[in-house]
Amino acid sequence: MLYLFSLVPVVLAILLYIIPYIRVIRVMALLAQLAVTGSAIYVFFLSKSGDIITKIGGYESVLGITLKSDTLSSVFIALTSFLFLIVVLYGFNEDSGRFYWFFMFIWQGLLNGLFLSRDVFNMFVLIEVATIIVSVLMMYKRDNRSMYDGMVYLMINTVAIQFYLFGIGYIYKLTGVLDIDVAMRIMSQMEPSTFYLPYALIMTAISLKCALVPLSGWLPKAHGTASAPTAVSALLSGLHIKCAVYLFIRFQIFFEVIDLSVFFMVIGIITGFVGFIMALAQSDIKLILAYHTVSQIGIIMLALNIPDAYSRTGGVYHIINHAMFKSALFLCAGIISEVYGTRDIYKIKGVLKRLPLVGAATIMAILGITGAPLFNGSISKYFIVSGAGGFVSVMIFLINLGTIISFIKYSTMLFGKSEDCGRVKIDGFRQVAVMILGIICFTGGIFGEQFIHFLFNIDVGVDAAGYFEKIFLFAASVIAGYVIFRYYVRNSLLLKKISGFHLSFRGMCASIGFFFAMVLIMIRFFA
Amino acid sequence: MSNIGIVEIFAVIVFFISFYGLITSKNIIKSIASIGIMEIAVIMFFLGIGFFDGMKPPIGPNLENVADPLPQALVITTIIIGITVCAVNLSMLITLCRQLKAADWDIVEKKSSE
Amino acid sequence: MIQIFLIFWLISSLLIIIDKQLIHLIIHLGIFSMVSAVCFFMLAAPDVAMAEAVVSVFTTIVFIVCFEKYYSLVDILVVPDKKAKFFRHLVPIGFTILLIALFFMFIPDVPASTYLKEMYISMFQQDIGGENAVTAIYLGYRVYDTLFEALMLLVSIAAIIHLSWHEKKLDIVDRTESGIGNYNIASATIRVIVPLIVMFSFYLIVNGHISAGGGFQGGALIAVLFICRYIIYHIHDMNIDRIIILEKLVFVLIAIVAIYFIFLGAGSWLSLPQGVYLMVMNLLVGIKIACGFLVMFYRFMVYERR
Repeated sequence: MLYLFSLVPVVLAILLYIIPYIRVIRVMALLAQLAVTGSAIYVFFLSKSGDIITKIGGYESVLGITLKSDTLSSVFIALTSFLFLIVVLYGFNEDSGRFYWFFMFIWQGLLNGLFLSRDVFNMFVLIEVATIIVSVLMMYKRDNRSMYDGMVYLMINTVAIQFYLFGIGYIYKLTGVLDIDVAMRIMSQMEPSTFYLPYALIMTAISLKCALVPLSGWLPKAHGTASAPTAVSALLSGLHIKCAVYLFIRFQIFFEVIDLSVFFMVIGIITGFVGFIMALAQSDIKLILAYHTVSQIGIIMLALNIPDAYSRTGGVYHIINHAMFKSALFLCAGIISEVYGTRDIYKIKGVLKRLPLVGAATIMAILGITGAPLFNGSISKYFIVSGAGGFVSVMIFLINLGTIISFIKYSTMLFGKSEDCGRVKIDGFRQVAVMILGIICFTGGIFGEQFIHFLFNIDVGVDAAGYFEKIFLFAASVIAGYVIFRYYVRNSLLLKKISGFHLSFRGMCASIGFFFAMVLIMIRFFA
Repeated sequence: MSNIGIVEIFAVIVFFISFYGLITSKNIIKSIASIGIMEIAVIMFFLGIGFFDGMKPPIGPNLENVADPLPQALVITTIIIGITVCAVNLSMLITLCRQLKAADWDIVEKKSSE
Repeated sequence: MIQIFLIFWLISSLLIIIDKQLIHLIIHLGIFSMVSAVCFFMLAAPDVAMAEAVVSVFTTIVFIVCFEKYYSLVDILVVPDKKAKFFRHLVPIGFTILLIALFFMFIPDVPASTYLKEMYISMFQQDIGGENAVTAIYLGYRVYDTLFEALMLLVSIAAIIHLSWHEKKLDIVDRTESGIGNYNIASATIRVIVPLIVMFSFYLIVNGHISAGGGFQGGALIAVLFICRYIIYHIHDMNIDRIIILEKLVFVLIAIVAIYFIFLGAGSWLSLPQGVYLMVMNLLVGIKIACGFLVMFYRFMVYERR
């Protein structure tokens, strides 16, 4: 019955579209979302005891389409429905038109379907529909900038997905099936060199979807576009980018014979650095957060390619943590920019006084993303580093230092004196939504081990001495970060110069080709 | 090179011709058309999988020496996805044209960031 | 034989990319679609050829509307011809050739696997029924894909409506300025063709499970019929909102039928004759696609053109 996860939200969306009363729509959306979240959690508990497999139509798995819920996909589904619940709460009292909930629920259905599907072509269809939905939601308010950003997003993703389609054409040609598990079994009996081409095609497409560095030009445009609804930006950064990472994990397992992890580790490190350097150069709060998504994706990519079980678990846990703190930050940024009427970080002052709860949630999320002790980011980064070698640990430390500098800059808006100091009353549902995410950032750190055990059935232990060492490291890097921020970042001409750097559409297309060639050459020499 | 069909070779070449169009075209309309060509090139590749001269369509009571039906079924899905993406892109472009009075990548980029 | 058409195909794709005159794009795209449809037919895929042929009608219309707007709204800059243009193209051409060479270096020299093909060919008549293997896969084994494909059309129509410049409904549509109907030859030809289109589209839908064609191709052809009607009489007396609602309801119906028959496997104990399921689904998909394309056409022709 797993197909209901993707079909029920779609049918619900159509119902919400047909109902003309906005109040009924809201209540229905909330109730429906609660039901979907409940069933997602139910399936999560069910798949703890074993994989759930649905063969649609009861045909043999190679003939029809198989849906399978294993640990990874059930975690992702629970995450999806939880974040959508938060977003529904956040937008409960918002006056958003008819199409908003329609698109939102279809989007959720598609993501659920993507996480469950075991058929490579089915994944293609789901990704493509999701791409259109995302681009429409991004330009929901239809002004010039978001229109352009949405169009670039849609077109570049369509180009990338053609590479993916070409790749699955080769998989079908070589193995004769489209089901991931069966194809893997057939592949293991063939020469690895046969699969170099499909690997390069598919990984190029997925790397664009993950926004790895030469291909990351579209992400700040898409996630940081000014007039996109806040909830959409939060879901894009928190969740939608993760479905590309999920695909990366899946296809990494699928192409286990081709080991290109060193290449992706290097790309991950570069992505991490480029992300925070570009973030330092921005002054728009949404753009800062968007560039930090690039940086964090770099860390996740790095973690997923370290050949160590601890690091990979840490990487997957970091995906969930990133979903939590990044969506919290985006939602808070949305409220803040609405209240202040600007998104310029130097013009916003005294958030803590005017919006205490939102400010508190922002602080918790910032402590999460910078890897402060006792918060969730620290646990995942601890596990990532624990399996990594010396060089990689230093790189992660440096990326984290950059993140800290950038968020010191970000947190300047929390303090200081605002022109009008009165408290602003904001919608209760929004505050609840933001606070839930903030508190999760905290509990995810304190009960990190238990969470990992609960989610992935893996027993991990945090070594107390090592963790204390990390606390000192964090304190040192905060001080260093503050010094660097104070004396270098504030008035750096270089940063001002690069702040406007971006790739045109043609440049992005060329970089796809470049990346594709690079992967092929790397396979030739290193795999 | 005995197993590489002629269809595959042509499909790859057209795929990269459209890629050339994407990296050089100054006009958005042309980029959209290039994406369409790319899609049809992939479709051609799909249909060429396992095809030999003299194969019949996989239709009818007598099914001997027929083409592979699965790529054809997949390709119909791909075609409709292609047309819808194209239509959405063009409707965005029309709206953008109305607002910015431009359809060149460079000009649109400059004007939209103002 | 196929080689000749493939060369034509390559040349027509080159024409689209190379031609400097933007307006020629419409004609080149038409040629490209036609040659691809012929190639698809030569590759023993009549269903796909038909689908591509009907779809290209819509692509052409959409591009025509887009160009009309483009030339009326955009101030086109006249760029003076530069002499040293060749060098500027050298880098992208070289890059593309390099990519093609890399691609060919890595193409695996392995015969295509026929594992799944044999299974489908031998089993689809018992499992799904009908005589058309493509329809059996499209609506039977892989109906889950088809659902999302139908959803794609639905979503994109909602997207087009939402993104469109016009928010409010148009009250009166006066289409006297449309040019095509004024030409006697065109309108007379269309009048003769219309009944044939009707017959052919219903044939395609009803016989989708035993011969080439099916719901998608037939439904799109029905939409073409309405386009012809629009072109002759310049009227649009249809209530688009109702068509949109109908489309969504039919989608829900498709989902229900598919879940009932395929996902739950309940068709077997209803002891229906083979092929009934495919006929019902073809009909529903036909209605869905016809509604979808019709809305898309009207949006572009009536709303976006103004």
